[in-house]
Amino acid sequence: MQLICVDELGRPVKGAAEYHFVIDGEDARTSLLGDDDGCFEIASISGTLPNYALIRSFQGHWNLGITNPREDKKPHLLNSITVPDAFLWWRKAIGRDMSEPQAGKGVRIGVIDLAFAPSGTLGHVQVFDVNGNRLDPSSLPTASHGHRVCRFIGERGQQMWQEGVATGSEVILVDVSEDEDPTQWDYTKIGAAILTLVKHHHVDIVNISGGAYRKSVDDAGTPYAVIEDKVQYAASKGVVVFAAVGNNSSNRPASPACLPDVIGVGAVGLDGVAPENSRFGKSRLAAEDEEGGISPPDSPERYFHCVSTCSGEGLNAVGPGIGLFLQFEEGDAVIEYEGTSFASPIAAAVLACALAKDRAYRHVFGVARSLYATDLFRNLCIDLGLHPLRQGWGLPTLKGGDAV
Amino acid sequence: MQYDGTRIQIGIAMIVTVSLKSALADDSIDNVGKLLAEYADRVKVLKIFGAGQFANIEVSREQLVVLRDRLGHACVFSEKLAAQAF
Repeated sequence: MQLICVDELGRPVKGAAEYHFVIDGEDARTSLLGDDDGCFEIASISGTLPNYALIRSFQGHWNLGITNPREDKKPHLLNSITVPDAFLWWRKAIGRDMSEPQAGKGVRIGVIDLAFAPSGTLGHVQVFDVNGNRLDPSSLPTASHGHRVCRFIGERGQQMWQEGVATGSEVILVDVSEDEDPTQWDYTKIGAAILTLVKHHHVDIVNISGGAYRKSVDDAGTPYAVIEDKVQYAASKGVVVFAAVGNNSSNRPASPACLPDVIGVGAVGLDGVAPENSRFGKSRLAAEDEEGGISPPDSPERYFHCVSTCSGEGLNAVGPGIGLFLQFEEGDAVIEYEGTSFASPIAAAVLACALAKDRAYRHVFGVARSLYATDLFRNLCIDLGLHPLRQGWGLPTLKGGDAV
Repeated sequence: MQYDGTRIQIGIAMIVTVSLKSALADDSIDNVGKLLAEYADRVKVLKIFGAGQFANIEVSREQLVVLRDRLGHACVFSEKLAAQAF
């Protein structure tokens, strides 16, 4: 069984299919690469077929979501993107002035994520382990989730769409991968990573684009105490911590985003950016069905909450979290990414840009500094007219310039 | 339930992270491994990391309750959860 995917001209689309299953009440996912003819085998687990397929093009198309994918002779259409609009919409949304070459200069951003070998447009990123050792680039992969996060924060490319938000900021990544599997996050390392970034690297901001969904707290100990202790330490040293709330709407915002001293970031998109049949377009339609899922019709720009992602208490702000294209030199791939993983670093980098221009920030210290920076961030956020549990304070933007 | 002569274990062992409290007043404590060796010698230590400030240990819930009583003044404890990138 297979799906066939083509573009507007009937040309095959190369990419990968991510299949979603529910097995015994648990979510499961698996990915398969498509072939050169645009054919994607439909995966199954123990005879169970997927309830959803996300087709991710490598060639600059809007992703496509297919509910209950089954063999179908009729090809599925993936729309080509318009360059540079598809790359720039979210940069415009946050008010990033692309003529400013070193936005965020002087601000240090700590990233807690999976390591990669810094090179090219990310050659300035420093990568450490939780013991404070600098990692040998030759032992690291060229790409990782952390690599993509750092690109959104501070990529220093020649083209407009190769520029992150805070290109002048210093970026320090601490690896939190499992010792046995560098592709997986180790929850136990997050606290140590925060401590390392604050104590030894003196960062201003920390971004955590991952975590764990909450489970019930019992009297034998909470699963959050260690990270909460380090977040409080970070705040006492003037550091603001951002974290992604998670991408599963059946869960509440994850840890550490849900913690009181962490700015939990959810994901939004902008109406009119992508075709209706794309995953982006369908996400916008899905938001129509949810209370406060999309800005009121009379809004100058209508944003929508990516309703398949987490919302609720612990979500303090939102960032662009769908329709985020990255270009890769290898094979000239252009791929759309989505998720709160990328909304969070974009929001954090917006704050970095504002802090770099703020005259008072460097003159406050300790917990007063983190409170000051948090207030500044809050003032950067614009109300999108969404339900408060879906937008928190809103979308941070540098458009106004008042705060900076 | 198992009885090994000195302690009673009930339930399934879990991985717990132990960390020195950030606001610890006593600077003489700088390595969680030393504390564990002194106050929790029967606990299985999986690894020490984060410049000696953190340890992953394998304990039952009952052992964890005892540990918190003994070391709660100096340490915080978190059960390991399954983490993922978002």
